[in-house]
Amino acid sequence: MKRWCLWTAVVCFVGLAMASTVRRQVAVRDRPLKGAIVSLAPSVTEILFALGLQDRLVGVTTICDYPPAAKRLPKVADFGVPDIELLYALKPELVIATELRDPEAKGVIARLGVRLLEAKQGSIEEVLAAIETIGAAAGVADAARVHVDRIRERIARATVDVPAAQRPRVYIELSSHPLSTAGQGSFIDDLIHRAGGRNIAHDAANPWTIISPDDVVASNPEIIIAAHAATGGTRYVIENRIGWSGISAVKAGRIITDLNPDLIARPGPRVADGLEALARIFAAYREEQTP
Amino acid sequence: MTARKKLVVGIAVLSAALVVAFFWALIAGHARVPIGQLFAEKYAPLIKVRAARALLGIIVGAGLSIAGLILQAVLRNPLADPYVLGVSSGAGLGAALVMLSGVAAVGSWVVPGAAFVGAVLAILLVYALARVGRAVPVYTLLLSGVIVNAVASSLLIFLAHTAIARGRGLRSVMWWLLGSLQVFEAWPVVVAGIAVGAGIVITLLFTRDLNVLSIGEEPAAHLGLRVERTKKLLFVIASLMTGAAVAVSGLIGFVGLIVPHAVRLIVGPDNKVLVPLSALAGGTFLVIADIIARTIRPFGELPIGVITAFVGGPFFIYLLRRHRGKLSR
Repeated sequence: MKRWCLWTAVVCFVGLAMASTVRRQVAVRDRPLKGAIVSLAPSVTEILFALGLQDRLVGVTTICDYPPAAKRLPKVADFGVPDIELLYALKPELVIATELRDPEAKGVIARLGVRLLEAKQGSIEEVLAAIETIGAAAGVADAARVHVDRIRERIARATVDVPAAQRPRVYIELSSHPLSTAGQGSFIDDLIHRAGGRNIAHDAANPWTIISPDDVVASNPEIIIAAHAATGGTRYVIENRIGWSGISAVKAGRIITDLNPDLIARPGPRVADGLEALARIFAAYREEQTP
Repeated sequence: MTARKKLVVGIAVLSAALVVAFFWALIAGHARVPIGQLFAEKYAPLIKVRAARALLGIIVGAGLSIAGLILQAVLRNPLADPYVLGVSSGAGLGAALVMLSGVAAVGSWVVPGAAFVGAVLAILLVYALARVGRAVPVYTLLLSGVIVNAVASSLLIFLAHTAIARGRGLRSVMWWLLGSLQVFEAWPVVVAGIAVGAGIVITLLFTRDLNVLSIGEEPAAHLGLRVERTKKLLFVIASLMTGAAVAVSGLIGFVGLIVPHAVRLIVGPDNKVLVPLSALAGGTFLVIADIIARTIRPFGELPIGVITAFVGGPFFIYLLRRHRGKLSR
């Protein structure tokens, strides 16, 4: 009996190893695939699609989900962390990341003879610059410039200049467990300011920051945007939190839960969509305030 | 000092400390509330948020301390804490499963529910593994606890890594594993309060048996104690209290280890005195730890487990050195 158990365990162990080996194996190429690109960030994937480069995209990250076609591409990386063996097998000409989370990967990629492009996207300006850099690196500089001009125009139109007194205090909830929001130096903070709001977490030092329920109640936001409705941030939940019924936004019913979080949290080519959505919300608030 | 006198003085002092800590918790925070205006309407929402947290802190602190005290007595091991028998990793696995699969979004009860179920399953497994005939020897119990903890942690790490791939929920799991007294609804406070309250009352009825058991199982049997039955009952109480506390606040470490020891250092080993005083001290300790967790950074808060571990780690080393002789024997 005991011996049987042991043998079964050994067979399962070896079987598991064999099964996962077979499933994951990819043929190794000997020279870079002409023109092929691998994206290491969902925002980069969005940019590549926006520039019409999807046919050259041979690998994306496990969280690339937009546009929907991106989900069908081979997954060769976690966000910012490429699977080196898969890169070795695919040998793309170009790997594009926002930043490499794994510093050792840089050297390995260089040794593979693959070009690495890191395009930081922490603010709106950086996103626009990234689109141009990526376009230039992929040989579609002109198309990228046209695209950027179009986004820049929409951003200029949606950016409003409002005196501080008329700016609503805004709390953007990115997760309820732990309660988190976007602080200074984040893409979202930038968007809120341009759209005419005041981020209650503007003083937080980190772009992604944990906020205490205490702080939310004390800063008494006039608008609450729950950008995680799909993971439980519903209006009902927020209204019924202990002590939250005293918050202006809850009293006035200004809880927004239908904003697509990717529009404001993902620094990609849909940045203008996110900004326009926020500007509409804040404009409605100002209208409400003027008698 | 007689036991009775110790008890009266101890309860008076620690109750006062608990009340002070509670009101301190209402005032403390990034937004200051003037003492005179504690009940002003302007501050009512803030006071509600803080009061709920402080209450939860008292409940969880008391529950974990008593659970730790019971296990230290019954396992006759000074390093025992509420998590040695697998409750923590079982609860962690349950919570991580629902958080990483996205099921947690269904409702606020899902994570506590899954954590509690995980805790109960882990305890049952440990118990089944440890059983020898009708008895549950302390050594096999501790060993199966260690094994179940190890296997559950490896599963948890596996889950977490597949979650990195899907890019969601990992922060929630990390947050949960370090524990927090953030509370958004009344029911977790009420449910945990009932479970821990009942647990403490029952434990108070068993303080004599705890005293007898800590001498050793054989002498206890000679003194007429039905050892196995009492042990089982005490395990169940400790596990349920831990499960309830962990379900509503995550894995807050060190409380259940250091509070009973600290109280024991001051008042001695009599469980009749130890049980009520550890409950009060545990509640007070956690409320104060939470004040630190909420205010130590200029913005946001730290998981309370970071604070309890920071205080508890050095204390643990002190205990280890103090008990060195006993452990090597």
